[in-house]
Amino acid sequence: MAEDFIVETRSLTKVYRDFWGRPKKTALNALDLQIRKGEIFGLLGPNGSGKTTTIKLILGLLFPTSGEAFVFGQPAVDVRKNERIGYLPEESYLYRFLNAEETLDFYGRLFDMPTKVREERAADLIRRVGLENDKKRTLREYSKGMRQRIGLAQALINDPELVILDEPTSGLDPLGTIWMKELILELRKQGKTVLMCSHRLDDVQDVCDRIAILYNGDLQENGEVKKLVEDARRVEMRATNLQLTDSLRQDLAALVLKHGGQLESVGHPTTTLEDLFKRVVEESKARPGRRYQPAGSPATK
Amino acid sequence: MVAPVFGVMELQNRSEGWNDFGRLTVTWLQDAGGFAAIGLLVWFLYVMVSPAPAIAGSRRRMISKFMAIAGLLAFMMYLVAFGLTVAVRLDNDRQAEEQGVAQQPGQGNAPTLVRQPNALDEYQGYALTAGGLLALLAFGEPFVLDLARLRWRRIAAIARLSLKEAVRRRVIWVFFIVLVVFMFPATWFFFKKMKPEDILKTTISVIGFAMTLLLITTALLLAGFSIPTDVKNQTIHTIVTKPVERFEIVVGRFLGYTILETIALFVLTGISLIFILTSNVDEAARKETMKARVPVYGKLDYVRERAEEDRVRSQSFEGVDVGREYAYRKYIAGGRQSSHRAIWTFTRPGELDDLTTMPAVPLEFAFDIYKTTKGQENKGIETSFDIITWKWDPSREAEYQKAFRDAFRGYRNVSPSEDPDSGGGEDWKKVNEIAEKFGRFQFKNFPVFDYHTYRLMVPPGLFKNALDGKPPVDPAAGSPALVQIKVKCESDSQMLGVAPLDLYLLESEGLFWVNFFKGAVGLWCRLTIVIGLSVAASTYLAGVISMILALCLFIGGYFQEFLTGVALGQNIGGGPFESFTRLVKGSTTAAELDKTPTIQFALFGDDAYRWFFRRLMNVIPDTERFTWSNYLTQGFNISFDFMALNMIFLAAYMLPWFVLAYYLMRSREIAA
Repeated sequence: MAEDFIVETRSLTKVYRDFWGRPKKTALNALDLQIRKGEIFGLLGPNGSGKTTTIKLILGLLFPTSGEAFVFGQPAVDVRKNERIGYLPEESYLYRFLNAEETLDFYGRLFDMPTKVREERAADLIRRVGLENDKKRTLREYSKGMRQRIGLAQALINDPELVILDEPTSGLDPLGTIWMKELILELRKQGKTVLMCSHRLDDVQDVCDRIAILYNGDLQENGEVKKLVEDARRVEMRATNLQLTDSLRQDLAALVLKHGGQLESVGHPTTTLEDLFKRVVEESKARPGRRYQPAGSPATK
Repeated sequence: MVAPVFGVMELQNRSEGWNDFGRLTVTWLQDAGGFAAIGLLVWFLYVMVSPAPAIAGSRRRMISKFMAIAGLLAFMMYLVAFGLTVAVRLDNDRQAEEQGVAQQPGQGNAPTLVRQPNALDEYQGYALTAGGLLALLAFGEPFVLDLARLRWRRIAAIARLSLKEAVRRRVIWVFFIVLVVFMFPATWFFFKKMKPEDILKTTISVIGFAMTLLLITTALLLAGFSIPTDVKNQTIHTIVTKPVERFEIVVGRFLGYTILETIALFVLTGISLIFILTSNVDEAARKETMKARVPVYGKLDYVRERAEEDRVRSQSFEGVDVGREYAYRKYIAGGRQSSHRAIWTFTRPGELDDLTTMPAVPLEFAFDIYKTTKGQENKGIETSFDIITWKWDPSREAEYQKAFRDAFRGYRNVSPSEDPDSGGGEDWKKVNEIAEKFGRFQFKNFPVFDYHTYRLMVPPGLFKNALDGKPPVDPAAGSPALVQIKVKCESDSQMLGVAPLDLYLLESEGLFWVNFFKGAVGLWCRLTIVIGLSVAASTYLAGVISMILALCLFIGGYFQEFLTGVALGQNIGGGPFESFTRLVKGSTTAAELDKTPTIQFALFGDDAYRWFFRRLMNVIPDTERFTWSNYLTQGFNISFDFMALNMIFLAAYMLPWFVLAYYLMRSREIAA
């Protein structure tokens, strides 16, 4: 195994069986995958495609039917690899009778951390995930977004080299989603490797360097996001300080035709809904009392 | 002199001591080793067919060289043992033929073979022990190696989590239900008029029962559901993806609940004790129960003694069975001319050593009386005590009588004075001198009533005599007798019922409250068993199933005597196959069955059934062993020796369960 592969699977296969041992469902079929150090890797696929199974096999929560999985060059069932891993499950499966501080203290103890280190790390993470004001409340009082935040904090308690996130933006509001994505990108800046799986393709596209697409347990695509989503048959051009007139359209059509192409459309670009939402929230924060006014109402005139 | 009430123990079947440690260790090695061998076989098969080795890198990681070699050697030893078993069977056939009896039980009233052990049995034992030891080493190797990887901080974290979980879910409030018991007088629990001394006994019993019920139930619920709930809620995913050894979860959960139950037990015991001590305890009850007697027990034999000076003609017998359903006691016939004696023999010098420094040594006893005639109204059965040491020479009988005549102008029963400053009084000093000189002390015609405990005082000089020098050792007879207490029933046509623990020398009396807490340790042991069983079972089974399994095994422990009888084929009518055959044929249990192929098949089926039952007996905990409430109610000290020995029994029982839990957790797909 190459040194720079943080995760590697070789013909990794998982077949779920019934009580009598008869094959029931092939959840993953001969998956070959390599994840390099410092990259954000996304696993994509519809429900039942084998994303979570792959993660569970890599974490040693499941045993493969055949094939192998290695993390940091060690077999996936080796507990010692977990020293360098942080894992955020799809749902934040934490003990709800504990508060945020106790939760991080508990997981810190599982890493055999000295008390002082544990306390410092917990305080820092609580601040980073924005739960300083709620750290004494038990998790059963938390909203789903807050639980996801504390879940992420527990995944980072050991300052891991590999962070595995199963549907990290699931259940988060747009702001929470943005926060999560920024945090994932920050992790990359810190040199950490991130393996995430998600249904939300835009999220994956925003943060991942490479992705693998699974369907029905089979690997369908694997490569860099940019290359995979690039449409080499089309050309996009953007310009500013320009009026969209008929003559511009005609000139552009002639130019494209001259180079052997065909103009498909010319128009104003649209922003993403995420950008719009972000802008509205920021304006609301900056201008308390801001309210939506229908077009034509006195306030808009 | 005569105390109306004192304690008597009825715990004779728990007589194992440190002397039996070697024998019990060998038995444990054979039994646990057998299970380890089965476990090893299952593990080998699992590794061969399971996908787990693939992810682990190679099968060699799961079966080490040591494991393979030790396993192979164990297998060979078991083959040898099997060969020897066949040889023993053949030898059985030969012996049965020679004796002209049936080879095994299950043949109605037909006499059964009394096997004479020989070298074959010895070698078979060796082979089984060696096989067991090797299998244990092989099966336990990964467990032992992984123990080194356990980290206390992680285990403590999981234990703390378990404690917090129980506290935050308000489980601890349940414990205080036990306080309800104190709201009712003891007599409410039993609809009968109670003797004053029995009220305290009953109260202690009821408290013990309530605490057992409550603590065991909470322990079952907490421990049985802990890991399955973690798996169901997937909270375990965030734990096993940390550098946590899976066995640490088992140990952490076990410790957490054990600590919780220990605290609850300690607090409840303390509260119960305060209630008892501050309540208006009857003086008789105080004398009976609120102490911690340290007894010295002897070994009981029933003997037909033709003439006291003619020991050669004395013969042991099993005691008379008067037909009482409760067969705890056997009886000796009464009468001036009766040859029946109940003789308690004391052989251990260390136990008698402390008695020599006492001004008078209390001898306490309580007997049952079986009257064949009405006898005299309001008059007890007369019983005589003849206490002799190994130095007593029957030929000095005349000299002994003369010494008495010189001292007291004839024989008389002498007891020490109640005045502590008198040193027992002048008469007592004389008796003590005579006892020390001759090695004999007698007390004649002591009136005894049914089930009352009495106290006689024995001069300490007698024990000085016994410990002065060493008795001749007869290797065939075992430990030589130092002191013998011979009890004879003097009343004509009356029977005196005695059991081994009915008579004892009282070495000292400890503090009741200390003993009360010691008694709670017995319940602690049972709690540990329940928690350990539940946690171990829950590593593989669902919460409800784990709880039910642990409960069944725990309760099964209370019926161990009956189950052992079934496992050894001692029950009347044979095993299920033989019983069915008898039912179909309309044959009585006493009738001998013909040796037809059907019967042979039925007997073989019963053999297999009994084999299975004997294995089951190894799985069922000896719960009764840890029930020490009798010690408290009867006012007997629970010695630290006894506690330590029982702790070893506890550890020996729990260890295989923990090894099983280790393997189950290790091979479990957490997310499946």
